[in-house]
Amino acid sequence: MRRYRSGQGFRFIAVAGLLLLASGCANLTAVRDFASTSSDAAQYTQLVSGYVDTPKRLMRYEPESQRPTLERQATERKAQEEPLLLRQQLIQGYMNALGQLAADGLANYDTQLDGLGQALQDAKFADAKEATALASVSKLLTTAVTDRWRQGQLVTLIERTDEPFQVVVGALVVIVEQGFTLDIGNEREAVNKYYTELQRTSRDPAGLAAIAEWREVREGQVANREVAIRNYVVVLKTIAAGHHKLYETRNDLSKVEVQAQIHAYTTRLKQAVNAIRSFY
Amino acid sequence: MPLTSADAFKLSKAFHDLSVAIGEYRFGHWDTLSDDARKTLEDEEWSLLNASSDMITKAVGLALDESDPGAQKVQAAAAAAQKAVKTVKDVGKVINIAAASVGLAAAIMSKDPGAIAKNAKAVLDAATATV
Repeated sequence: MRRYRSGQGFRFIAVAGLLLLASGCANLTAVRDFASTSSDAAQYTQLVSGYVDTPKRLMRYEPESQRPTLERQATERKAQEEPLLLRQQLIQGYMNALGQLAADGLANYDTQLDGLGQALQDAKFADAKEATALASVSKLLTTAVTDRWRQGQLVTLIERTDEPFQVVVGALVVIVEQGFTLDIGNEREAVNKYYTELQRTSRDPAGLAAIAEWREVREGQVANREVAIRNYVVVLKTIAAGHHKLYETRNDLSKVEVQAQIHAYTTRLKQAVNAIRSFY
Repeated sequence: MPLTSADAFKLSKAFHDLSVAIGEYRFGHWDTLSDDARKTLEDEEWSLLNASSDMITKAVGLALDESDPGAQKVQAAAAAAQKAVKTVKDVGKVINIAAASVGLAAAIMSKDPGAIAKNAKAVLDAATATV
């Protein structure tokens, strides 16, 4: 009887061990958290809207003679909206799929993004290198969905995606860090020209007080957008750096020290997201 | 003149800085300027600020072409103009520099290499005439 019980216990442990081995499930909580935080953080579409709508906002400051120029600019910026949002969506979709695989779930992915790289290149909104990278990430995601990849393929996904993913995120970093920052600088100067002139020409004390208040409000709005842009750059750079860390440690993702390193990227992301959320 | 997105960002910054410099001149000499001079300078400031925005739009949407050496000449001209506006006191000279710079911005938007070269030279001439 004792031998029977002992044999049963051994079999239970062996079966449990085999099941764990067979499932290949490791505790990848840190990877999952990083991926889901990245996915949430990448989606700040308000920053794109802010950039697209700058010419419309400048209409309130600039003289009527500049109206045709600003209207043309508004049309040109509107045409850039979708390509910019698609880049964000691809990053968001990829990080979402990464998190699902880390949790041993099935990835899902909006296959509408599948032709993104080619579409952007055709419309001359992306150079060949970026378009190839966009298409590459998108294709891998489609494969992950159609081939029903699970946690066992996580390393493959990270391994094959890191290089093009760095290109995709890097291109968006340049757009936000340089383009959006210069854009907000122009808006700041427009506010300065408009209100300084009003303050120079007004003689009415009550009017001057009102102008000063409005100036403060507008400058505050610009400053808030600047902070949000700066933090979104941090978000994008942290997503890229964190993903590269996943790539470098891809064979040790369940190790405690690696999980701690990945957790540090998640913490940085959350701080940057909180800073953006306080303005949007 | 083919522009890379990096060129376009640099030009955007150059036109922005020039618009700021002319604005500082206008407000700094407000009481000594005639209404016409103020109005002329203000118009050029807005044109340059909008040229800066145009360069941003170009940079964000640009497929990366090969950079053209002409882009550097344009940047050098814009930098010389900014430096001159900061030092010169004569309003007529500031207006000349501003007008030439707006012409340069328009030439860049028209993508006409001849017009760009001609206008870049005009900006440099206007800037150096102040020395």
